[in-house]
Amino acid sequence: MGGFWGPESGKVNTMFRRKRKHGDFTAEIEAHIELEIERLKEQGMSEEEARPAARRAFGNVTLAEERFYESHRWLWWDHLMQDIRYGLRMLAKNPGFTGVGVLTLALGIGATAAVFSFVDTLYLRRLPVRDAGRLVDVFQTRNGKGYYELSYPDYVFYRDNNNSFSDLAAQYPASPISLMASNQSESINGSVVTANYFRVLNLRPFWGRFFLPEEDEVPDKNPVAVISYGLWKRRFASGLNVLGRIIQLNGNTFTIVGIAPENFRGAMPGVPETDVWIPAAMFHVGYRYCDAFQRDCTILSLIGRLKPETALRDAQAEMNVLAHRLEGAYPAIDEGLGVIVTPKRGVRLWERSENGLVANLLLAAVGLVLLIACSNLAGLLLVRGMARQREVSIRLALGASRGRLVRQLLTESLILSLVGGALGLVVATWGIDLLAGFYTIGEEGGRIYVSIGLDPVVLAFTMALSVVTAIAFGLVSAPQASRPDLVVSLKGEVSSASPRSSRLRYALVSAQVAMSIVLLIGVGLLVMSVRNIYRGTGFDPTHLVSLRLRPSLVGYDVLKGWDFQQEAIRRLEALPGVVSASPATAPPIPWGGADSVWLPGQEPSGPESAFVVGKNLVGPRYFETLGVAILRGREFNEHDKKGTPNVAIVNETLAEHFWSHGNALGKVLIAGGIPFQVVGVARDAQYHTSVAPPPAFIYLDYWQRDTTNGGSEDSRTLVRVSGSASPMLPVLRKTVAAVDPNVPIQEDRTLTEWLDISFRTVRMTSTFFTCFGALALFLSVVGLYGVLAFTVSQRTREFGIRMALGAEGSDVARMVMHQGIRLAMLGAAIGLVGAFGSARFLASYLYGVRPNNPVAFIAAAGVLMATAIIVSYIPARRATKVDPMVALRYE
Amino acid sequence: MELLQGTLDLLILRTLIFGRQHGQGIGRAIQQTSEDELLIEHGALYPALQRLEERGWIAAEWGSSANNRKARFYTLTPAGRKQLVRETTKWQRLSAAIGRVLGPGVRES
Repeated sequence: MGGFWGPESGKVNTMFRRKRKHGDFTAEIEAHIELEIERLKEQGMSEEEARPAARRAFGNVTLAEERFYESHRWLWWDHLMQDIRYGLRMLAKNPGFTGVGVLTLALGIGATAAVFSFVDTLYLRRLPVRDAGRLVDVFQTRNGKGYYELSYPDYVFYRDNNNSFSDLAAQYPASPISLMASNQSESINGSVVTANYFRVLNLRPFWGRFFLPEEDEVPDKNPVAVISYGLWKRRFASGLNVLGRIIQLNGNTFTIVGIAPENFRGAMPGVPETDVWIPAAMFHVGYRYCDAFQRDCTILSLIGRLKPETALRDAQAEMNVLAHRLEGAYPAIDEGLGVIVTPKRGVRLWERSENGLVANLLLAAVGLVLLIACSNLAGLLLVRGMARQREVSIRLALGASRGRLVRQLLTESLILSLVGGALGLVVATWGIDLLAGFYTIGEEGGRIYVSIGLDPVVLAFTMALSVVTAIAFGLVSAPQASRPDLVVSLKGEVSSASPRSSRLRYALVSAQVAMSIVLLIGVGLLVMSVRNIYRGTGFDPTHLVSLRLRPSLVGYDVLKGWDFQQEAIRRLEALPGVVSASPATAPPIPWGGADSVWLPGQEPSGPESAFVVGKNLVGPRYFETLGVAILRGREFNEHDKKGTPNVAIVNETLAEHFWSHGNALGKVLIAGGIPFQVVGVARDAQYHTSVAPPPAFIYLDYWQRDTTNGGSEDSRTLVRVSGSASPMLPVLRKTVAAVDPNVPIQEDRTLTEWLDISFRTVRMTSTFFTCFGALALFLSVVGLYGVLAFTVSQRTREFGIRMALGAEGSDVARMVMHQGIRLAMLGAAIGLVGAFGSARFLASYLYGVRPNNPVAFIAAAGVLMATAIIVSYIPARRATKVDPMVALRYE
Repeated sequence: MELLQGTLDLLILRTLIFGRQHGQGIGRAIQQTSEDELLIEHGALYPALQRLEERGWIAAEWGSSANNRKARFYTLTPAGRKQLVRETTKWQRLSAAIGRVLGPGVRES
């Protein structure tokens, strides 16, 4: 007869009704009994008879009351409140324990949250626009692989033939723009975008308007620009007359029509922030390497907004069909074409692979730190559990259920870790600031658009992490604490630690030490790598400056461009404080060009058998400027120019490859189909990771290069100064600007800054490992100290007896220290083995040092053991202070 | 005679159909109308009243009894009235069915 579970309306109704007070219920029962007495008296009973009769008829009053109380829907809430109040009281009563616990958790959780914010930025974060959840990236694949950009005609085809997107926009988000306004030139980053771009992103202009569809129809007809809020503030002093203003972008006249919203920095996180947007019809201003309207010029990234009713999978399916149609129509260009539609999240896809590796490493490292923090907490709680045995026993004896007790202990750890988590957010913001600092400047200059920071996702993650850690360390310790020996502890004796819980505590400490040593070895390896990077091979970055001169951006042809460069270099070298200067096509850190080389008569049959080497085109005195030794022969000089025989300089590795006895001078080498005579052998550049062998490298003469196909590549001019580099930068800029103020100077920075940027991931990994290593060391040392101190307090009586029987203080101290050192050594041994197995994961971040470098291993073990010894000494000393008389009277 | 599980709720609702009543009055009324066949432990009445109130079938307020004593009075809500009809029908069908199974009279032999 289950019908009494009644109508829903009734239930809902009572949810909002104020709960009935217990006193009200008691009063009702009292009233009932009075009424019953009255009735009985009416029937002729006396008062003395009526009262007990009424009571009897009622039955058990207490039972009724209890039933009322238990049926109370908020019982669990009352218990929780009770637990929280009690927990807070207990934590307040032990400020030392609470302080260490909260600090440990804040550090562990904060560090993890900081690393998570990095992961969040890379993979999860959405654009700061309305309804960003329906935005997708569209890329091309070739034979099912990769992420490639699309050509403009292909974009138009997808845009006009799909039914999945409410709109599909295209952008080229990293266009170097030389902005000339109020007679001042400045290099900024621009985005070339289709007119519907802002509509897809659901943006409203901060001021003015965005592009009209008709402005994006006829090439080169409507030079209009939208500028960023930041640029408006910085360059136009937030002026009200900015709309309609004329500016020069790469030498072309544009009119400002609008200002983008304040927090909008472009639609491609991972590339520099966009300061100016121009319509796709003006593509020739923003992109020069191929004609952006041709089908073979694939430079566009697509952003689509899914229709509300379209699922991602359906959009993908439709785009697959369209890609297949394109492939059929243009088999020569679009063979193997595919399309991939992914939610628009995180940073640009190809920024992810490198940073993703770092993120994994940092996650692993911070995971170890968090584990150490948790085991530390578990250890602390175990110790406290011992101290609380009496309290727990009393509560058990008074009838508290074990479940309720465990719940109580878990509530306490939950409070602890929520407080720790809240404080951890402070730690996290430090970490995030540190992290973001590595991403301020991009290789091409300009702030990189990555919004590393706290957001709701990170906050939620931190919360969840706090709860999980609380349960993790709480569960290790709670069952132990809730199972004391009632008889012993009620008698008031602190029973000596049970062997099981001691073993658990020792294991926790050794595990902490093991994890710390793994991290410390990582720290050692990375610190050595960073030092190697900045040291270079005879390559002193502190006196070097590089400037990127870009006459081509303002329409110089090849010859005019060369004249400009030569004049600039002549004036630079004439400056006091400048030692030498030389142009180069790529910066000195070898990520420049590449070319296939072979000996005369040994031309490779196909691309598979080609020997591809690094390549840079450099001017006279390049090696002198850089400070890289020429081992044999000479470097380029003024006599090497157009019309004289083509010359080349090779590095050691390349020389060894072809002429095994190092006898390369005078030999002929074909590079890119043109013969060159080798006139010098240079020392290997040293920037290669421990996993990669030094790359073969060829240097060709900057002034001899082939200009028949046009292609006036702008140069990176390298300048060696005699003093420190950064104060010289303004002087150098001014000298170049004196030749022609219109020519943009970009990437003007010291070589140290170049190295900072190029080896960002290594430096970042190293910095964070150092922090994590220090944290791990600190936490595990606290853990070790805790365990030893506890042991000493437990064994006070034993020590007293020993000393009464004639043991010296030093004997007792030795016992304690031995224990500490034994624990540390056990952990260190495990850690060394673990590190030996896992150091290779760092290999791609190690420069000039092998993953199993013994110095790193020995140093880490040394630091850890030394700290362990020092830390063991403190409780050991306390043990020697035991007064046998006091100790024996103690219990 | 002991009450069958669940029937107390039905009896309370049935009693309240005549108007508002306090707990003691409800108990007495049930006892009287059943001609003292059904004995209710008064203590059991109150958790039942509490349960019915929580489900919204009865409403309660404090008031004064006939001889001017403070008591908590219960009234039937519209939802409670519907519930009463539903449960009464169900009960009648059940008792009729049991009656049919048991037959017209079983004598002890």
